[in-house]
Amino acid sequence: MFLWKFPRGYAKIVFTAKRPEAFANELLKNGVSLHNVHRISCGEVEALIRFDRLGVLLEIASDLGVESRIIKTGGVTLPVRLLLARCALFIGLALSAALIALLSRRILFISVDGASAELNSAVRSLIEDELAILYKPASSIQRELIRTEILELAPCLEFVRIEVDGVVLRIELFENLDSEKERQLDPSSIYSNCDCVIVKLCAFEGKALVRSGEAVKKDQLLVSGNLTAEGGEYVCVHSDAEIIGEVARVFEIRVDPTASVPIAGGNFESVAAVELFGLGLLSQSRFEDRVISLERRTALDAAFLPVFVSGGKANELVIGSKTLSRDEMLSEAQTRLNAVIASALPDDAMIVSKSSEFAISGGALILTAKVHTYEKIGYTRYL
Amino acid sequence: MRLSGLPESTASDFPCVSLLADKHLELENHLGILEFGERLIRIHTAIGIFRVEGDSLEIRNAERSSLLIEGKIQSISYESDK
Repeated sequence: MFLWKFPRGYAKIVFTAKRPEAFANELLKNGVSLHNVHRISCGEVEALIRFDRLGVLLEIASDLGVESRIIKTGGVTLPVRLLLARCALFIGLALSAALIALLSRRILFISVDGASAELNSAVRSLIEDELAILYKPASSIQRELIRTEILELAPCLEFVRIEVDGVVLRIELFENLDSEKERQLDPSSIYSNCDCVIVKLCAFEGKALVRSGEAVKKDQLLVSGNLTAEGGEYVCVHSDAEIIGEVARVFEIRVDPTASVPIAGGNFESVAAVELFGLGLLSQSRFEDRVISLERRTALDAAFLPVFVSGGKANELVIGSKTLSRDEMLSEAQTRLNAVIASALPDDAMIVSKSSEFAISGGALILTAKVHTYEKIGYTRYL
Repeated sequence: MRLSGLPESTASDFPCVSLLADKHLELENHLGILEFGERLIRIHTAIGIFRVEGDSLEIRNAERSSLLIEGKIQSISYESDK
């Protein structure tokens, strides 16, 4: 009911007069409301008034010769309260605005494109590491210096465009491809880069010397750039062809019967585990690597949650020698074989057949795989 | 007032007293506080002096024309005619 005093502010006053009632009536006539009026003694009365009425009270008290004193003030006026409540918000907004203003004038991101990924990366590292442009003010960017440094780094570039877009420094690279194009027009022939069987040969320029289904050797001439024109004169052209060959590769993996594997050692310690909704917590261990075997599992009713507590032991893992079974050797060989094949084949190779067989020789397992692929073959040799 | 058909309390200076149990008393249209103490409060009204007796009496809120008195109210009365 008297919450008014908190948002508006209030003052607790004591006024002393021969007849405090007369002073109170005068206050009421002048619009000064009184609250919680107590009589302290015969001529002394204590009351609360609104803070903004304090001036009127003092004026009336002065006129009537009533002694009044303020013994306490409290609460805050509403606007001040609102400001205080939102103080953190205002400070945050001001700081954010200052931060945005500050950062928006600096280079925060660098975008490099237009050339190969390697060259883009090299230019980016040049700008970030050597020129240290990141986080510098945009106004301090020396474009000519950057352009010169980039062109020195990569002479194959013809032109470098540098733009500052807000907080992003955009660098567009333009490669000089004319020399490469001219080179590509020089007379040339196409040779096989491996032993294979030609599956498809489509010569756009030059003379095809082999046919589909024909087996060719490595470095064998496939498409010739020397042509015999009418009249017996030789004409040299730049050979261009699409050649697909079937390439057979043999991979061999040897796995010894003994292997170094981590095994459970003799050192062990007791462990405990707590499991809740499939998430487990395990006690800490002094072993870096260990193998855990839990034996006891107890369900606890913890506030209707399904909690399981397990106990067991953890053995330290040590590197030991183990004799592999045939299946283990085969599994190991298959894993290594797949890795070798994946790394050996070109990206555009398509596996058309794959066969493998293993043999045991002297206890070791030897896995042999024959892989046939279709892939682009041929390399250009200039005349 | 009777001719207008309105209740007398709505348009006159007559005091209007609202008493809630023996704890709260609200008096409207008062003309000033004559005496104020813990056991007795006397208030000037248009029809006389309004007298409130009790224990631990306190003026909780005093406005220009209304008073709210709280405490253990034992009796209310008018002392005399105007």
